[in-house]
Amino acid sequence: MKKIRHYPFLIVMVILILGISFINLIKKDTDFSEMENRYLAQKPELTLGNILDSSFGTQYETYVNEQFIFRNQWIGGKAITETLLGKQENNGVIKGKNGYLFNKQLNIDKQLKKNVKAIRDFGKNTNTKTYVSIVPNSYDILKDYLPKGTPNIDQEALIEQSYETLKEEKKITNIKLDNTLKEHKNEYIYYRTDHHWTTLGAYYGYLQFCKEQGLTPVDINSLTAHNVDNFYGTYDSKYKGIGIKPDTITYYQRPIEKMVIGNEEKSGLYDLEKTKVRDKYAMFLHGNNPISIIYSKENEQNQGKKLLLLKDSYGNSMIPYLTYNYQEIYVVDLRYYSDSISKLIEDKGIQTTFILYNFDTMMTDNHFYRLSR
Amino acid sequence: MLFSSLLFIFQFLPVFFIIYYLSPIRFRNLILFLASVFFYAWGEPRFVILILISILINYIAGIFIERYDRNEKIRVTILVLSIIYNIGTLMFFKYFNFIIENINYIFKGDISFIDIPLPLGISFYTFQIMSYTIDVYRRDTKAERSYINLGAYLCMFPQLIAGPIVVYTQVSKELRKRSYYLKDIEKGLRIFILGLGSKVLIANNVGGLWDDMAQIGYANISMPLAWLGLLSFSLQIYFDFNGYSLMAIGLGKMLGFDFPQNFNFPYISKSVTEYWRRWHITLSTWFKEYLYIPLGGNRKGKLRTYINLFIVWSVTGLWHGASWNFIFWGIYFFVLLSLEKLFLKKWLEKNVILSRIYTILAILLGWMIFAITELENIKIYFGRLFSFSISEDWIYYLRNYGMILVIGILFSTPFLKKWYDKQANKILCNILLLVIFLLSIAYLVDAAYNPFLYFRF
Repeated sequence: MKKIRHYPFLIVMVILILGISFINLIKKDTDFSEMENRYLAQKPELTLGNILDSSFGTQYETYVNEQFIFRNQWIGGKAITETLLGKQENNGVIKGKNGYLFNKQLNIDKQLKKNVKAIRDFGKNTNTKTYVSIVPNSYDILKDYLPKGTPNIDQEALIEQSYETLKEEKKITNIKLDNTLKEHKNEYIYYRTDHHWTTLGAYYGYLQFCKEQGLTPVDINSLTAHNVDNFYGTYDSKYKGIGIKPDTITYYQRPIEKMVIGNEEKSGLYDLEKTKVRDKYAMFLHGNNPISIIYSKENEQNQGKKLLLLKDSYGNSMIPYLTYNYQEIYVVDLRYYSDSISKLIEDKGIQTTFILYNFDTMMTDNHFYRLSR
Repeated sequence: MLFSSLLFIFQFLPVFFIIYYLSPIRFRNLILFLASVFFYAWGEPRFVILILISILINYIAGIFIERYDRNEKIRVTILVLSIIYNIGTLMFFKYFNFIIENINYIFKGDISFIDIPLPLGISFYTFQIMSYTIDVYRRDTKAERSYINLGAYLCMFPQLIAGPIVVYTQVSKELRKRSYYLKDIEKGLRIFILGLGSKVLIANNVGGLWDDMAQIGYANISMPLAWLGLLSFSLQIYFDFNGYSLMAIGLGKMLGFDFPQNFNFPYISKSVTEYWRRWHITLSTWFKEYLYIPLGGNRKGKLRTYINLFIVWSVTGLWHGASWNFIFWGIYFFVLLSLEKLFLKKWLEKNVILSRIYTILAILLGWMIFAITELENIKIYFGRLFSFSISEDWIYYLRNYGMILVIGILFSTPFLKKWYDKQANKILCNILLLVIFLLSIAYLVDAAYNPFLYFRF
């Protein structure tokens, strides 16, 4: 055994591996990963059933992987190594100029065509006026900031094609945002570290929506702005590299009558508790819920007007402005709402439907079939 | 369970080695056997029985072939029966649906497929166990009297799933008696880490470029990107496969076994003939020993030699997967090897530079046929290679993958190994290996990193 000191490498490695194994064994498991915004796998229970269908093996391996000691540090180390290797991307997020992070999107999902057709059919069958807007994602508008030769798909063309399909139904009005957003591309209309548009970007979308309908928009300068600093969004969660500056969320107070989510009643549009956690964007509209009903304070503009808004989370930062023009807004997230839409329209006497999605959700989400319920 | 997983490195390995080295030497084969069965069962509990039966049948076949040593008829019968079983199970599990697909296509039939997953490592262990029975028949080795030893040989977890293909005669002595030196354990550990790094840091990384090709769609890529893609796949498959072999060889060393080398810098070859002496050596050797030579090799005239080569290379292709592109890939190499045998080799030997360019091109195009399963897509990809369309996409990929491609190319040549072997004081090498190990762990942890975007809102 004396000889063992002649093998320093072996000694170091054995201590390292045994040490890590041992610490992993005794350390307490983590429940929730804030960075990833999800619960981590816990130790699976051993049963005869899950051994035989080999699900135990998979579950246990996931558990070992996700509970690995110093998880965030390893992940950060990998991200830095990638940067040192000259990579401009990590975990499917591309780092562009001016601190902007972008989604890497290489292929066109077949779901897009299905979704657009589902919307067209909905427009045909409903009695409301239907407005549709597909919001381009940041990499489409901020093309100048992308690394040279970025192989992303041509969102602009795909959105245009989708509008062509929608136009086949005369009762649908397309609200095209590409040009508006491009005109303002030097302003802070997209978050650098998150996949959403900012409240300013949403405001330009709102202006376009009002213009198409002939509504008088609320003046953004008349609203009181509040800032939430230090926002690291979802792109940053994935990218994890160094040298990323945080975003600032600006939100505008809009006094409302009340907001009803399920059986709960809220007095305001924002969940300010969320400004303290990592996932700050969830402050808008108290996150994504199946259906929320917003009752605005009555004014000359919105008297008696009712809007059905079918949306993803991009919509959450536009709704505060819409309260100025609609007295009742029925905000529905098709991903979580499974009741009949036509019945909702009929029961509530809704006159206008606005379908507002960002391109990414429009292309990949598979809940649009619920429109026909 | 994969070697390149946190579960294997930080749970299976420590526990196994502690038990293995603390127990008396006479129990070690049993421990190795049981641990290997556990290792196999982890991912595939249903098919453990299949491999155990395979061991049993060949175990009995070996003993009976030896017992009826004087009766050629019985010997042959037993051998043939064992081969029918071995090949039969392989055919059933690996090629059944492929055969049906082709029958349906030719006869416009509508026979339904069976829903059976491919048992892990079946291509590898079937070849290994066949080598055993054939060698007993050829009287190259004595029949193994201990089921545990034979089981430990076949199931041995280092080489169970992805080779190298270790034939029984190579390890039969070590199965009975092997020596354990700290020197070997340390050396094994080094080789293991090198293999881990090959797989996790290089193969997985350059693999990202190749995966993107399919995502973008082969029809949409520029000509430079098409070549970059092929280069990245070539590096990916080499570092993946060689990485696995190295990890296996390293683990073998730590257990007291000497496994044969499987790759010897194949990409520096100056001809395709040389390439196949350097690539997946244990497989080529197996086919030579147990197919080419029994068919008559080159001893039955020129025509028969080429027919034999054709058979061997078609089967080699088919061994890699139940799909036509693999068969074409095999035949592609048959054609090149035949041309070299006929006249090309003499010419290549005179031309050092051209011969390398020719070989690299031949290998790259070969990987195209290998990597793309649908013939239609192979045609499209081939078209892109000579499309002279030069858009900007390759700039992005060169910028992002240039460095790792250079590192991959560098490690494909023997330069670094020569440097490594020259170091008398290994401190620098040790630090380098430690860094490779830590980085591999970081990449493995990151692979399980999965930010939930809630979702995409």
